[in-house]
Amino acid sequence: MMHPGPGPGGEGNLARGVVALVVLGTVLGLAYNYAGLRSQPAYGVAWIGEPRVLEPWTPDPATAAHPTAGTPAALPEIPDSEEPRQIQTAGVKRLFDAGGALIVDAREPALYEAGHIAGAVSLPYEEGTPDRVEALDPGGRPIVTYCDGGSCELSMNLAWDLILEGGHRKVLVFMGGFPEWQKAGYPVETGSATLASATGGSGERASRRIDSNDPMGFFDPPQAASALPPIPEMDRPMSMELAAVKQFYDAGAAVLIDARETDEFVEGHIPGAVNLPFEEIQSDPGRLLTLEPGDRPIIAYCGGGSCEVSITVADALIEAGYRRVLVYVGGFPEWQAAGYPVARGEIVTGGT
Amino acid sequence: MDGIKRFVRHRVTIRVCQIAIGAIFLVAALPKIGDVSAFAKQVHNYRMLPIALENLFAMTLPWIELVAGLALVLGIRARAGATLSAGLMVVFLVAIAQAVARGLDIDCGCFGTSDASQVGIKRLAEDVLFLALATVGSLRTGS
Repeated sequence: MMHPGPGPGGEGNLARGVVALVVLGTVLGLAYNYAGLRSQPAYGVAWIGEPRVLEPWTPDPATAAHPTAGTPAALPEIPDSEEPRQIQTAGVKRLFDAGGALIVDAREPALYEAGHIAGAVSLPYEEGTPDRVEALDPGGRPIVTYCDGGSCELSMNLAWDLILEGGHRKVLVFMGGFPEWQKAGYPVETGSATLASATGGSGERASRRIDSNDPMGFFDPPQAASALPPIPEMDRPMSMELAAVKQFYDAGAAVLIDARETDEFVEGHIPGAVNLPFEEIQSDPGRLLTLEPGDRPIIAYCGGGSCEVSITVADALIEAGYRRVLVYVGGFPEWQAAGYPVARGEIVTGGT
Repeated sequence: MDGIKRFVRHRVTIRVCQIAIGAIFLVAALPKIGDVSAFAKQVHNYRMLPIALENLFAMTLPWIELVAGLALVLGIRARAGATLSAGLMVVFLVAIAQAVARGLDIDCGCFGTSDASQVGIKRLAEDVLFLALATVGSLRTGS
């Protein structure tokens, strides 16, 4: 037997042996996985083995006429008006589902942080800053204001501000407000949302809006709708670039899926995104079926770089039967770096 | 009592324990080396390491296991290998114990990806047994 026995070195020898084995193992392990040391992905470990590259999605001019993408045509036409109009819960929900409106929370920030309609922007009436009212850029969509329902008047006051000071012409007041929305079990978000660089480029449009007395001059929804390229049905996920994601985000014409873990999601995510961590899908595949994208595409993203959970989740979505699934490869870091809106806090989805 | 002590310290007992724990380590190491990314995911699930270190850990740990296993089976620096594996078993015990305590329902990852067993009391008991093997294997003969 080759048993070395207790050599004269004793414990020192033994310790040296242990260290030698650890060092040898570490060196071998590092050498074997040499390529990986530079990156530190959380757990996607794309650098081990070939990273998966998805076929990029490009708008196909041939199918441009095909009405597959978000169909805002089905939305009720909101006529221009120099007075705020009221809208009921069902109407708000339709606009919400289609991303067909900019939803504005008129309550104080503390209430907004405690819970608001998912994707809503905070514009407290009490703080009444005219430049914020002007900077608001619904992108041709109607603006829906709300507060705490009942006898609260903040939303109505803000609506008047939006019309008189901001020059907006499609301003709706959701009288039921947050309580009714919550009671209906519709998506609710907590935490604060930061509208980063909301003024970038929108100043010009805001002034145009004030000058224009011709509604056609600044409001042209059919054009805005058809500008969205259609997403064909696919049997595997494709990748999507930042610009296209932003386009769909602005139009509310996509369901965004944040595939990262909940704690990362809480720290910051694309407003309105649904948190669907891969591990949760693994333990509860039924979660996948709770999505109701309708005709809209589903866009999954994660931490960018070499993170792959978004692809894994996209695969799972395809497997679950969804046919318009895309992966935003740049992920949250790229979105944030671009200065686009970021929401913080947890999403609480009731009802569904 | 003295008999047990002598049995445990007998060089054949020690050698057998060394080969047993060495074989276990080899079996545990190879699938992890084969599928590092899956193992890294399992490491991540334990939520014990800073995220930046998880990949490093996932890359090196299986190789340390492999080296220790080889040392034990081949009888080269076998005592060092046994001491090292006893140390590793303590680390694994702590990892599984904290996962159980925190109520994490995760793959053990003990024997690589194909090992879909969840962490739990059974795993803990198994690890205690392996730790005992490794400890006996690290003893000096005689005395």
